[in-house]
Amino acid sequence: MTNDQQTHIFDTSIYKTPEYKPFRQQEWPRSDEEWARIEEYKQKVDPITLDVVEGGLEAAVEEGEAAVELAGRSTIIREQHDYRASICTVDCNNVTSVSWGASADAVRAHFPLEDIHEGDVFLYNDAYDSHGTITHLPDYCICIPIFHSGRLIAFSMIFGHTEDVGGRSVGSWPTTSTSIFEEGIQIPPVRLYSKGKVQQDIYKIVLRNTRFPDTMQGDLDAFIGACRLIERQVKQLCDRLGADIVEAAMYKLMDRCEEAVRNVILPMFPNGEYTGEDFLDNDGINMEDPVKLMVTIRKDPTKIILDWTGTNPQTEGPLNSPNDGRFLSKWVGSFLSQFAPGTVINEGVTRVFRCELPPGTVLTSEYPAPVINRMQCWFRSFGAYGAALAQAFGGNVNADNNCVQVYGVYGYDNDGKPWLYREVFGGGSGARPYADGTDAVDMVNDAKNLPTEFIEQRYPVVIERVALNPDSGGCGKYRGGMGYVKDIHILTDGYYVTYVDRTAFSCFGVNGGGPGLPGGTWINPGTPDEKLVQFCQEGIPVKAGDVIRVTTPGGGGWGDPLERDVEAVRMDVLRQLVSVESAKENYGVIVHKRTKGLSTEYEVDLEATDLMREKIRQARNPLKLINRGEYAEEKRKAGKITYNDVFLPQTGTEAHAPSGEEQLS
Amino acid sequence: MSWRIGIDTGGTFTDLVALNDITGEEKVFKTSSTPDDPSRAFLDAIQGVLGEIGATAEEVTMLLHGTTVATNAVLEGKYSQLGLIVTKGYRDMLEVARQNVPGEFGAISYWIKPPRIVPLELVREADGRLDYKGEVLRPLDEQQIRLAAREYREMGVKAIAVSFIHSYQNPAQEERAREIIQEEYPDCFVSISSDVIREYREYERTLTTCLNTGLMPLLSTYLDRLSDRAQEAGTEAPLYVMKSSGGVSTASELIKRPIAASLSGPAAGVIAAAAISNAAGITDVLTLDMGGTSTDMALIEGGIPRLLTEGKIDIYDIKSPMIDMTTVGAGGGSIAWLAGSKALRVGPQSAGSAPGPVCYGRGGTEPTITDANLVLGRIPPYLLGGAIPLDRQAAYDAIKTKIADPLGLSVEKAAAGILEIATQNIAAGIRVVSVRRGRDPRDYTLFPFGGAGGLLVSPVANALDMKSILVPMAPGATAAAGLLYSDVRVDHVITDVQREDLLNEEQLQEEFLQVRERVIEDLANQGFKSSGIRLQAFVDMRYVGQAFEIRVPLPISDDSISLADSFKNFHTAHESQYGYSYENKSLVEIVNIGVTGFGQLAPPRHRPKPYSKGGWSDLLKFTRPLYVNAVSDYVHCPVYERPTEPISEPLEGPAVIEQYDTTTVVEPGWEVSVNEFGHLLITRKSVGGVQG
Repeated sequence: MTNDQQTHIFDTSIYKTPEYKPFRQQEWPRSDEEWARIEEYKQKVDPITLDVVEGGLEAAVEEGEAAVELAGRSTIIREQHDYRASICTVDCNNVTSVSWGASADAVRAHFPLEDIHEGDVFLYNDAYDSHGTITHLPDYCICIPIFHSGRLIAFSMIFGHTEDVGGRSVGSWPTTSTSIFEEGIQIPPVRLYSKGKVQQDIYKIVLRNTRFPDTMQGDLDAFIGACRLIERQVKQLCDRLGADIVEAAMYKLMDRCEEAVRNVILPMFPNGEYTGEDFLDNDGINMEDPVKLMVTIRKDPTKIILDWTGTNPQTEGPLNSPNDGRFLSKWVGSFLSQFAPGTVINEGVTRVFRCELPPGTVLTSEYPAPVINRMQCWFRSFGAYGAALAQAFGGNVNADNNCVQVYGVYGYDNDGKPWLYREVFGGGSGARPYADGTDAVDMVNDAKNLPTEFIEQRYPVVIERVALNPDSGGCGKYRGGMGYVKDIHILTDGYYVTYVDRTAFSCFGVNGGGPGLPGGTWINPGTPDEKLVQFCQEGIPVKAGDVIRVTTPGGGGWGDPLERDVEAVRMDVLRQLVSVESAKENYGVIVHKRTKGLSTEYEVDLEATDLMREKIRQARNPLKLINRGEYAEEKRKAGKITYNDVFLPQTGTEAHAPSGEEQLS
Repeated sequence: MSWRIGIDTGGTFTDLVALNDITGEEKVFKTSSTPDDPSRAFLDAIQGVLGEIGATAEEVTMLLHGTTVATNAVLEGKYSQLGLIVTKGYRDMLEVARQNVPGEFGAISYWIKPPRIVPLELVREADGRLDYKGEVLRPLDEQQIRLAAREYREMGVKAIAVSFIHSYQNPAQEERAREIIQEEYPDCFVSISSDVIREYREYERTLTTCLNTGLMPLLSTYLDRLSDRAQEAGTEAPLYVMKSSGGVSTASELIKRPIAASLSGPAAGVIAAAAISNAAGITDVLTLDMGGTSTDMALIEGGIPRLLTEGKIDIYDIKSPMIDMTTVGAGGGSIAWLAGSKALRVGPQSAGSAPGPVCYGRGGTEPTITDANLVLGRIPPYLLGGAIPLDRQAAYDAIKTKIADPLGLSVEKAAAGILEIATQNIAAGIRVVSVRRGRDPRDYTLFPFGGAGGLLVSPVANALDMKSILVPMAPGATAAAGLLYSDVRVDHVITDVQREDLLNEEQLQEEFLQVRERVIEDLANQGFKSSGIRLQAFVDMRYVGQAFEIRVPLPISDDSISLADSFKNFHTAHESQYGYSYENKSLVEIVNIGVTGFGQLAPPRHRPKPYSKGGWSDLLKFTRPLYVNAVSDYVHCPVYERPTEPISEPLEGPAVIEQYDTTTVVEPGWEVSVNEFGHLLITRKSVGGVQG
């Protein structure tokens, strides 16, 4: 069955109304003859061959990504894994596991098929002309058509976040831009190589429009080399199995993903309608105005719809993302693989799990709205989705985390050349219904921090402390992960930049768990000049000798903190991750410190603990399903935001049995 | 007579190969391992082989040992409790680690961080700080070190690791800390990071130092016990232990750096593959070591195994020279299962040796690679020459109910599918050590060994379009044999990042002398004076901005190194590895300077044997139905005894060749002969390729 025929289970007519943006900008229908061939060969693909093709394509993508990591030059690509490889069919449906990776839609929109040749290499970063696949300008995408047996079989793509693409600020990440023109050069899909011949003119334009041309050259060459590795491996697969079989298998892999989601994952979700919301601190310009994301999950036995009606209109500042429903379905849908381990989530997920997005929102912005900070919006979409899931699953889901926090310092060396130390920080992950959240991790898999010994070799700073921020994880039966604290002592004058969220709002706790501590920066903490820096900031002047203390948010807690295992509290106190005061006030656990020889020990007073816990239980307000913390409450009181509270029964978490057996994020 | 003895201790068997230094005679001996005290099997094997060859213990000139004691301690978390002292501000270094969540996007929601090697309550901080040049920003607070040492002593923590920021540039503060700890607590084990690995990146260096320290008490006890056992057997021969780098070290040196032995066992196999194939005139080889739970792969180029300066042991990224090996979860016991909507997967879960594959009849219920091999007639219905019978019906039934029926396939197609997926996983592993390093597997010969190595070689070779396969004489004892071909090896480096345009050659010369002195001293400690040693100098280089280095050899003459050609050689190496270079376009920087020293143990030579007068027909045992996927049916397949003498006449597949602990399957489209060293040489028939 084709993609089009499958979509009847959705009411696609909504995409023709002004209330919703088209699910996908354009389709690339294949001819009847092509479908006949694909259907014929699909019959010939036995289950083993299908797995051989799947394994071959996944290995190709892994190999491509490994090549980028080795040869790439931007730290954000190399260490922090902000790049993805993918393979899509001729009609631009992704068949590999990182299905929100780029696809070839933008290339097809600019070049008719007869004008796409073996040896062509396409390049683009145009956020508003990429069919929702590349959504801010530092992400350059390389796309290579893969030919076999004289015809086009597939495309391979790599996109990655390069260090600088021009625009008004070093690092091309202005947090107060009001139009995309401030954010860098926009390159629509163009040929960097034509039939194997390099188009130097294009290179010249790209390299002239970056502050770090050497790095850019290295990154682009790494992308091209990696795409070619993928191309070679797909061709070898075609040599062995035949191009017709490989191509038919790609379509069958999407069918298989659809079946896995429908037959294995859907039954785990309770049918019904559930609404969740979450808030971003602000758009970088209107500092008092939180930005709301809202989603209603509509689940019936055949599908899951995520309707994002209620989401904030596009913002003046660069929080916007020019997505469509298709992209967001694949982004959020990636998290479904945990319910069916071993399943590759590809474009097939969108036949059962779909986002419906109103136009002109912060998730579906219109040209030329600024987009550079859209990442925060993407990650917060999981917050709104998680809040809705918490209702669907009676609280039996993970608490909230927001991990991608970017901090940096830039300046100019003696020759006037710019330098930029920029790092992606993790934070605490949300507590789970069965375990604590994880301390200091990043949400993007395999995204690494930078070693102090690397940073100090390269940039004029001394990193005095890299640690966990005590008491930052939300309290709960399972506590949230702790955020970071990092002290950066800078040795020359420069400018401090932040691209962050959750410096005001907390990561929310779930099912009675407490909110995590928000992140934030203190310049020269503990001195008379101490200064708090919140929100996104694109250039706070700092002087040689200043200490910048960065803290990142802790994850939300899960469940009633009074039910936390007493020994777990004692261990956290012993490890200096939870203070004696917090143990008492939040967990009702009385811990006494004593000295034994040279060591310090902590002992729990069980009797006093029982009394304390009872006292807290009597005095406190009912626990909430979603606990958003103080800033949200203040903003609600000030009339800046609205949200609904769901309270748990007074008896605590035990009486509030989850409705599903599975533990969900 | 003089015999050198190699003993490799594996999970199931302890293999021994004895080699007569004078006649070149080799004797293989196998005994069951004794996991509760591996030294018992070590003694059993020595006494056993001496009995068989009729030699006395005095005739043993050298004992060489490959062990998984360090590997298993890491895998199972059985290292000693230890303390860690770090620079002030870095107490949480092991907690924060590199902040990365392994696995797919979304794994953050379910990933549980494994326990840290040193729990936070045993980490202490000391003030004192160096800058990136190694200059002192703040002096060491000696009192804090003293108090920490006393506290550890009070707590009974017997091993202490020390790791300070930028100590790779200047080890003085760490060395002073060690002195103080030894003053306060003389009978503890202590190691400092600049001594274990003098390279930048604090987390990996600290982690490596912690693992090293945690292994010290264990390795020390283990090696003492081996010495006792050797004495018990009546030999005073020196004991050498294989390191991950493929070189050996005396037991007393290894106790200082046990982390170097973390891949001791697998490394020996690769060294054997290099020695055996080199002797046969084949220098470019990909090895395939297939055991019960996994398969290890490595690349040998120009007769030398590729080396890495850092790698992964289980979940730990550690910095220690090691042979570039990749492991995939595809061994005989790897389990076949259906994911999501019936996608066939093989591994990484393994039935191991207990309960083992279904056909072992020890309670295994999940079909494995071995079950598939049995059903398809690729292995005999017994193990070890008949000692252990296998239950084919049980294997058949398990594959039918768990895989074939749900997929709507015949049992044979399903079993063949299991092998096909396993083949693909192994082929992907080979691509990691070849294609990802800029090497084309088609230019290499496949070298299978390990108990299950011979079973999937032709399908793997088909998947990668490789043309020839070399199967050694005793695939099951290859690792033990490899021990006999090893030299003592010492590696030391110093990190000193220097840009091409700001090169301080004098400083590099001085660092070369320092590092060379350490290498010579380590070799001297192992009994090598200047005559028997060989030194290689090198620099690790990269383009400014890259984070991975390429090792470039440096010529040494008269106590000095020559950097003259090194930059040019770097561009060439980069071109070869990644397909491009930036000569005249981008600045290069030197990251490390180092020296590798070899103490030569005079490896023995392989001696060719005369060709046999007989042929394959003399070795034919019987025929057995073998399932051939290409024709979707069983064929009558001849089963041969493994030849011990060379046979030039090629034998066409399908054929099965059996020996005591290994079976080799020659698929249709391939043919096999026996070369003058007794190795099976399997080559693709010249016209076209038939898919296995």
